[in-house]
Amino acid sequence: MFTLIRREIADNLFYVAGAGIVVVFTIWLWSYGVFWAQEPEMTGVVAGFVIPALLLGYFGLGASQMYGDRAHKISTLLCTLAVTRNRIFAARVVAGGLTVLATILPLAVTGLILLESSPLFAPYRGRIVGEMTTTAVLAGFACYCMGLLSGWTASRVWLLAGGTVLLTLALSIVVVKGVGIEAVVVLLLLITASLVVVWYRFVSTPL
Amino acid sequence: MNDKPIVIEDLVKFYDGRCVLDGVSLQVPRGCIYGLLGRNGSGKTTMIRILLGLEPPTRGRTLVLGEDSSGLSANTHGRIGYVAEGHHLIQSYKVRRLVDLCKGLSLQWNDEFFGQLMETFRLPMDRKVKDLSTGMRAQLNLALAMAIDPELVILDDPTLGLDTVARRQFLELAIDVIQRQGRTILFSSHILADVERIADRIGVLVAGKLVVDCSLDELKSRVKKLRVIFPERTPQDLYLTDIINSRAMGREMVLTVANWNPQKQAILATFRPESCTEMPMTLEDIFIECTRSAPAVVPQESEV
Repeated sequence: MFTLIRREIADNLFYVAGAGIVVVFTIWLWSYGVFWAQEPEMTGVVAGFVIPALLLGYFGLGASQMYGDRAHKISTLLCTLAVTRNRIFAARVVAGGLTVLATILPLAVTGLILLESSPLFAPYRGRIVGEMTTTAVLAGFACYCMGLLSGWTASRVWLLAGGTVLLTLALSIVVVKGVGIEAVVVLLLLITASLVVVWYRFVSTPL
Repeated sequence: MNDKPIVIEDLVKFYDGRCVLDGVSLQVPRGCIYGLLGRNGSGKTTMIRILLGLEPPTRGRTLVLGEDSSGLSANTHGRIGYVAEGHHLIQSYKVRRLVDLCKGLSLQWNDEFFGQLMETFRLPMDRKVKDLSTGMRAQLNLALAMAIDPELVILDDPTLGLDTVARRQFLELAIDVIQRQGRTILFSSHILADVERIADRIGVLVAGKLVVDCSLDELKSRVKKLRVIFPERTPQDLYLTDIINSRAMGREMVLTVANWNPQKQAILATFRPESCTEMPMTLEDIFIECTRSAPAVVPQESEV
């Protein structure tokens, strides 16, 4: 399993490393805004750019994993080794989940540290720790799952069209509902549904 | 240990309404080198893909090492060495990375044997798979399949794209592998000389039907090509069953018959032919006769 997860990350290093760079840059900008420039409002502006970019990156990661597999017949080779399709799929999702967590959690931790130093964030302290982080992780993972769903197609037109519609849907849900329990429930349902569909399509498609 | 590593029961496969496999049943005993022959599109690759669980059957059942192909466990997959037609290797990887991946995902890995193969084939470890020639990719695929010390080896047209020397090396390697106790090999090929050289059992697929399934010696002894010269014109009907092919020109008739036996010989004698000469047949001749005519199933003995 570890070999499969490592392969997934190494093969999609562009997205994983890209997300990492965005996170490091964001943390630097936030820290600069709060500690040096004394402009805590800057964090909100930065987040406004960074969050959509990250969500798009998660979608790209999922799509790249599945589309790359199909285009290069990777699972066709893997399935002839001591591996089952379920294991390939599980490793893929674990790699995606780890990427989402590894990028959002540092942002959440940075947010917590900044909270302690700026009175501007005081009213949001509880929400940032709990609801916002949970919603962000789930929204990221939902975008990733939709990427998986869109990527498991041989047609690039469907990949782009399907991806755009589904991504817009996911983002709209978060924007309309805002962070909170409703958004969490809707995102969980979306994640479950898309994972079940993509798993079924992956294990039943001739390789 | 399973006595029959491959069991296929009434296998049917349809693609877009077209029947690719039509009720194929066969069993491959342990330690057998089974040569699967057939023209392009006869269903060989489809059959192999169904066996490996890469494709679902429309009807029927296939068992590999005692497990249903539709749900092969990782443990069973790890005991099968597979060389695919077209060699499905990850093109963007360097050879070393691909080898490491396969090694990491194998139940066992024979480093010494793999090293020998890489040395024999002179494969560069630091080149990308896409930069290798077709022959080198075939060799790499073969080396990867053999390195796991497989109990069952499935080779789908493995010598496709290999030059004469590499093909010879492959055949010698296959013989070496079979000599190790308990190994079973199923391989499909277009090169009949290769099959004739190493297979001890033959299957011929014609339009999705398995028309031949017997040992090579049995096949050669049962299928006869006869040149019969009659005193006058050739008869309209010889009243013989299992005629694979016949061609008449004046008094002469060239006849290919399956399941040749003394009864058939006696029936032919009632037409009082002037001469009846048996023409020698290679596997290639038998294959061509079997595949260009209506299917006549060779293995079963007929009444007459």
